Amino acid sequence: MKRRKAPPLYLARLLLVLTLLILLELAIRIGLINRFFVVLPSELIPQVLRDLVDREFLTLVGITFYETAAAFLFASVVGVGIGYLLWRSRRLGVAYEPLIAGLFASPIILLYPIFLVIFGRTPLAIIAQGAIFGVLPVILFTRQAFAGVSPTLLKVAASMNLSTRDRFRYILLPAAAPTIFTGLRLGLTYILIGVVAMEYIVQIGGLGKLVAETSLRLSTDELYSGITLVVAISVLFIYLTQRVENAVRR
Amino acid sequence: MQSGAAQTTAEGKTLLKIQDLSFRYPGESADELGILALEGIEVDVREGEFVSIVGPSGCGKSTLLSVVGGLVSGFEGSVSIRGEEVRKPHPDIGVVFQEDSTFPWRNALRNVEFGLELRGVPKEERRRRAQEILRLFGLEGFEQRFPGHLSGGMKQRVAIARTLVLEPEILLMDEPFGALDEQTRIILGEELLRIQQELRQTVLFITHNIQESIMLSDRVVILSARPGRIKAVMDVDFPRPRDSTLISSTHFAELVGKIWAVLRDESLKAFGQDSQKKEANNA
Ligand SMILES: Nc1ncnc2c1ncn2[C@@H]1O[C@H](COP(=O)(O)OP(=O)(O)OP(=O)(O)O)[C@@H](O)[C@H]1O
Ligand SMILES: [Mg+2]
Repeated sequence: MKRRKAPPLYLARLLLVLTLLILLELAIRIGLINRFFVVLPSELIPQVLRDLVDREFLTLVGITFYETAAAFLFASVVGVGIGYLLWRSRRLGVAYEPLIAGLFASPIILLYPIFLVIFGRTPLAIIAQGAIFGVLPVILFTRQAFAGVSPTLLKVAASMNLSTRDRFRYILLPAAAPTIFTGLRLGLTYILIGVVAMEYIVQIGGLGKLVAETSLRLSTDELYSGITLVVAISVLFIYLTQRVENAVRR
Repeated sequence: MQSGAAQTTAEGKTLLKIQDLSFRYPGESADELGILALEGIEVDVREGEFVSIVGPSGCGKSTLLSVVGGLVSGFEGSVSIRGEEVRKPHPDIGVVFQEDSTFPWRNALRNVEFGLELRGVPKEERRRRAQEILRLFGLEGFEQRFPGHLSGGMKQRVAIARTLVLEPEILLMDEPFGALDEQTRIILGEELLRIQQELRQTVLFITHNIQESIMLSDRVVILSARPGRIKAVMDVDFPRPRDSTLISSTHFAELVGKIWAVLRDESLKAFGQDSQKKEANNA
């Protein structure tokens, strides 16, 4: 019995997505799912391709992408920084961690009027909302990640006389990376929800606004095309964080 | 001639001097006293000497190693290397820790290369040296494996190799062969001795294996139950190079018997300490 070489992972993923799309197509065609609510995949794909060459649509994608990226950048840098500080200073950590955890558990999305008042109906309001929303899990996970680094590894660093910088780059960071990046991915999820929900609610900017409009117009194919692009943006960011994580954990 | 070599090292100058060393772990709160781990430790280790430390579990062996390694502060007494007080990790010291200390994000080869990498050794050379030592430690063919896919004993061997590849002048080893089976333990012990003799390293070696301590060392220091005090010091005068056939000699058996006689009482005491504490907690 020879073991066959496993097919590449992305092929398996593609296969799963295709299978699900085909099942969906069938379910809609035999009337299991109402066409009125869910678009046929065979109609969705041409719609997405049409939209992707449409300047107006691309602008919306660009806005959502920009807002997400800006909020995520802020949440990553500030969140990892604060999380690190809360770990370095035990007193700060003990004092503030419960507050941040409490804030994280509360429905911050409802604060959106405040951001509107401060920044007006601009992408900045959306970025601020998303960033605040996303920074919390990043802080919490970063602190936990550093606190969880094995004391033995720190002793190794000390016994080898590593400089503060080398200790961070070669021991702390790679050891803490899996948990930090779990936090970053969670933060990204919250940011996307925050950004798209805010666009949807206050009708400014990108894909969230598109989804709101098209759903009001009952234009199912455009609606789903918008949703597909939101998913694509999410996948892109997750892929990028994975790449960075692999680079850090070397 | 070989015993002559042992003679010169035995007459060498003092490298590591521990005088009246006591160490207490800080308590949970300011008004709590904490645990007294070591008390009044006095040891002189000469250049090129191999000294083993045995003692019951929890008696402070690892603590002693941390102090000598410059990894803890706040001890009483004095620890000096070549006359210089130890306040931080000494650059000539290499440490092998009791717990698994491999980097899970690096494969075996890159684990061993780590220290060389930091010292700026060129890639080709550090790869060659790491591969060579992994081969000596029976890990040929496992270079690309990550610690998550190595057994406990293999991980420990990677950790030892990571320290030895740097050829430190002073080696502190905390039960380095603890996770190994008897056969591998003996083979690696011989390998360690060969390297130690070749590089004329000074070694402080913690073990709970009496045979091993005799096989490897020039002297065996026996610690008491907590707080660790020096209970006895035994000289081991077998000529070097030694091999494992030593084990069957009567002198060897005598030494084992002597060390065990001291250690037995202390181990029973240590055992009593722990169960008493449990009873106190239950009451
Ligand atoms: N970080 C710590 N904080 C407080 N107490 C500690 C700490 N580490 C060890 N101790 C205490 O100090 C004593 C000595 O511990 P140590 O680890 O030095 O023992 P050991 O001789 O190495 O034991 P073993 O053979 O089981 O490894 C133990 O009783 C333990 O309870
Ligand atoms: Mg120990």
